[in-house]
Amino acid sequence: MDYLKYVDADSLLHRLDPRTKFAFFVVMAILTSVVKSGVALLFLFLFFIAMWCACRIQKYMVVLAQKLKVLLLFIFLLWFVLGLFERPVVEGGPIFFETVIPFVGGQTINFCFDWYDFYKGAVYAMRIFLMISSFYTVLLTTNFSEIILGLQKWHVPYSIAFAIGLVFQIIPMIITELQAIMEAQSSRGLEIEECGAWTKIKNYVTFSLPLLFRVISKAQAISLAMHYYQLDFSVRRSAYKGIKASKYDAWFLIANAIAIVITIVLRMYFYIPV
Amino acid sequence: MENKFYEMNIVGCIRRLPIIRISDDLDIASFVLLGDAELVVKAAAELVKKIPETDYLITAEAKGIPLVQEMARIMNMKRYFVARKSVKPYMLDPFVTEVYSITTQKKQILCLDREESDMIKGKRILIVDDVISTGESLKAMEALVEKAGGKVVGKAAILAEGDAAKRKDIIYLESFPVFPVQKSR
Amino acid sequence: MDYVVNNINYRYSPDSRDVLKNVNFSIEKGKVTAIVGPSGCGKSTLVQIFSKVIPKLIGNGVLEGSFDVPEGTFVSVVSQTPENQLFGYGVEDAIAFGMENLGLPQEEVVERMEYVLDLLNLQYLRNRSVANLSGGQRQSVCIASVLAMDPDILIMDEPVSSLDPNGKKMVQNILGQLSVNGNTVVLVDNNLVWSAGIVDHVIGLLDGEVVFDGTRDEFFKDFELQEKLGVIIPQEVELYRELSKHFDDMELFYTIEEARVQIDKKITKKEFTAPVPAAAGSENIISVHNLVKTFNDGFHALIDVNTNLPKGQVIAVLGQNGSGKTTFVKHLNGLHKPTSGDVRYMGNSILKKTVAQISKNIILVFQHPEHMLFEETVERELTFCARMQDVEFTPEQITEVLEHYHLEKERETFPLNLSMGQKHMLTILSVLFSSADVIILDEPTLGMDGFLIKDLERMIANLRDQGKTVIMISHEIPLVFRTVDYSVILNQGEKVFEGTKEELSRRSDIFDAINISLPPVVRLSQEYGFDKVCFNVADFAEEMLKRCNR
Repeated sequence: MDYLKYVDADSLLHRLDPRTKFAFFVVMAILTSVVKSGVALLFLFLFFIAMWCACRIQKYMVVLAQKLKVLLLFIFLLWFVLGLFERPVVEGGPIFFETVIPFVGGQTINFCFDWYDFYKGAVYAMRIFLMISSFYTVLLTTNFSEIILGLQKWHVPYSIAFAIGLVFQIIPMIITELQAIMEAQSSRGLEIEECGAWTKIKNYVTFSLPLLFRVISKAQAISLAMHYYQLDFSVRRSAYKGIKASKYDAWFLIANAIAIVITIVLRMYFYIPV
Repeated sequence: MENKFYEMNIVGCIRRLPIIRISDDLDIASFVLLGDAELVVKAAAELVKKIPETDYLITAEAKGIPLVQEMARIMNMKRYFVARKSVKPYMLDPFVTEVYSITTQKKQILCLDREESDMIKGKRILIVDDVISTGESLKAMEALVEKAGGKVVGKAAILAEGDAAKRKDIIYLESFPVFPVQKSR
Repeated sequence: MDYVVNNINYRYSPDSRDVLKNVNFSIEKGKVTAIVGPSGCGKSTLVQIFSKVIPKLIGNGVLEGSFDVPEGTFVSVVSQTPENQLFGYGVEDAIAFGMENLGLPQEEVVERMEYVLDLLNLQYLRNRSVANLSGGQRQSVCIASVLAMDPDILIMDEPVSSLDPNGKKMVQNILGQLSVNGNTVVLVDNNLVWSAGIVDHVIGLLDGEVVFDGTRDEFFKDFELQEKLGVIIPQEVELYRELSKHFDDMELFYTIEEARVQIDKKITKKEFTAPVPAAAGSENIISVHNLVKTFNDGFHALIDVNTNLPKGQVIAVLGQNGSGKTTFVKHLNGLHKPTSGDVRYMGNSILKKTVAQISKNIILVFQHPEHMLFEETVERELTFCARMQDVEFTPEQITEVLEHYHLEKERETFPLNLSMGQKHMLTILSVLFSSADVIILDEPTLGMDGFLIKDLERMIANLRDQGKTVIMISHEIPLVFRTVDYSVILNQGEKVFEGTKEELSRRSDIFDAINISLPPVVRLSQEYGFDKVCFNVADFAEEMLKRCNR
């Protein structure tokens, strides 16, 4: 099941001006890269959950979380292990195990297994997840026509906006093509299920050739179609649909502003340097 | 109420089994073998491929009879047995077992003539039926065969209904579900 | 004034041969012109010249002569694959795309949007997303989007080749609408089955030369030419061709209604009483037991399908797009695993086997050959299955097959350089060398001209003679009735019919229910009460003669 693309629905988020959503993503990306307070991030996470549930897209977020779990676990473990070699920067809190290991050349390594290791791993994993999920929230609720339109309104040249839109159109197409090729070849007797890892890799290499030709022929078809539709980036385009902000955008912005303020306040009161 | 059917593909014969209510909370698809010559012939041919070596076949009246007849014909057996559910006037010396059914709360008897039960003694016997569902009639048959001194080598049916499909000790061709009645909303 | 094609010559590079030679004809304004000819005759090159793709995008060829049109004439094209041509997420976005590119003011965009949606009766689709449209709807939206730009000439390149009967009817209605509306349309298609009633003017192209330039009626009377060009014509016209051999005063007809008028002159209708011939008893090779497939999104693709496919016969799987045909056959070779139920090959379940293991017995050839081709030469592609399955073959066998199916010249060719129809033929031929005795063909006629379809029919007959079972999904109903023995019909995931062709021909109720028409000869032979149902025109003519002589 391929959930990682636009889903057609009529939620509050779908009705927003794409520009509002872009702004949301940019602000959240900055916020999560600046804020390193666990409490503040936890609040932001709860706010996101509330927002997803209100807009009924929570099930797609669960899918996202499942696809990201390996990455998140890796980030968590990375910072957790690094944390083992330092003492907590703030006093208080349990320390489970502490020792000094002698190292070559008379040097020593401090080994300290404490609560702070968990904290640090969790904060980093949380930040990555929030950043990705805010991007995904926008992707899930904005179709590529709206993305192009929104970018244009921000005075991004049409050729670039169109190229971005095209990428969103082409990626799912390539995935479908790859699946079709794999099915077709296994139908003709190529074993792709019960085979070793090496054969699997070899198979993917073999699949890439027909895939490449399919993509090239698609690209040709698209460039032909662009010609048929007289797409000329030097001509000033008109627009059929206008986008304008509505009261929903105002509500959305107010809710976000409040959340951001609370996040910053929490960060100031409950900050533990990491 | 409209008639509902459960369609099944049984050894290459597609049959629509009418769904009937047997209790307040259960519907079952009813399978009638009697009269279906095509299905009897095909199912018997498939079953004989699956059963272990045996001396005699036995079934209980009435729906298994055409099947056991056809199987005996294919296997070149001169004789098979049909256990009766009541003592018949022509039975000179009836051989009877009594079974108590939990579900129907009734006593049920199965009987053979003494001459038949003597033939069963010490022989390998295969029990045949059209459908195995709760397994109660099967149990009664086993009791009858054992009492007569025969050795049950297998139990075979065309269909296994509901949980019977999970049993490892029976031979069957196809399985089909029972239909718990959904509470009306 | 007409648009004139003035003595065009073209070759792809200065030292290659001409693909177009002294092409002269004119395209009448406000009419529907059909350009026909076998694959590789230069049709597509001509489209590229009309639409100025040559020389604007493809500039390395040599073009002589000219396409004489007034200054500012705008030519646009609808291709055979609308999914590559629709830009935008929603239907409205896609239709507006071209107009926005022209820089039309918003009011005019709105006005033209309403106009095309009304003209083509597509208002009901306007709020849908392009991705959720059926093939026919997508092609219709594509036509609308091009039409909205108000082109002087609208070229349609095989617009229905990938559509099901419903989709074909939809595009057919739109073409009719355009014809009535006085749009200039050029139809490039070697299949005139769906457009025969609408086309005004026909240009026949063979090896880059114009071999016919005349009206539709003239074209349909020239049997030899139709044959030479490999044009696929409606069965009604085929019937006319056959009957006019025996009856001098037959007048040309395109539709079944017109056919009845002509046949009424010779014989009278009577009740059809011929009994259904008894089916030859045959053992089943594949049996399907209560097959249920529900996809992750909750869509019920197959609902309790039970069927028995007889060994050694040609079996058709019929139904509209979305009826579950492809999902069904993908269960037969293990690509899909059922939600519940069972699929058995010779009595043994295939559910636990991998697709590659199953392919030793049951092999599936896909709709789009590009997904299957991945060798460097035609010869290696042909033996792909055999090598995967360790089946032995001899060079003589390869040569024989290549010669038999007119591919001997292409032996060392890179498969992707073949024509669409040839590619498809090649993927089908490659299964001849596999060990499988059940061969499933999904839409095998896609992209094939009349010649290749004849080859395909021959091949299917050969497979049958070898005792193999062929299962075929096809929308070409007359072809189905000519080639198959047995059929399974699906409708919205449920099996609605299973039985022999003879039984099927008597069930017009089912065809009504799934909105597909029985072939004209089948219908007519029953209406006139012949002694048997006729499945091809030769049989029909023979039966009709019998009646006349009585």
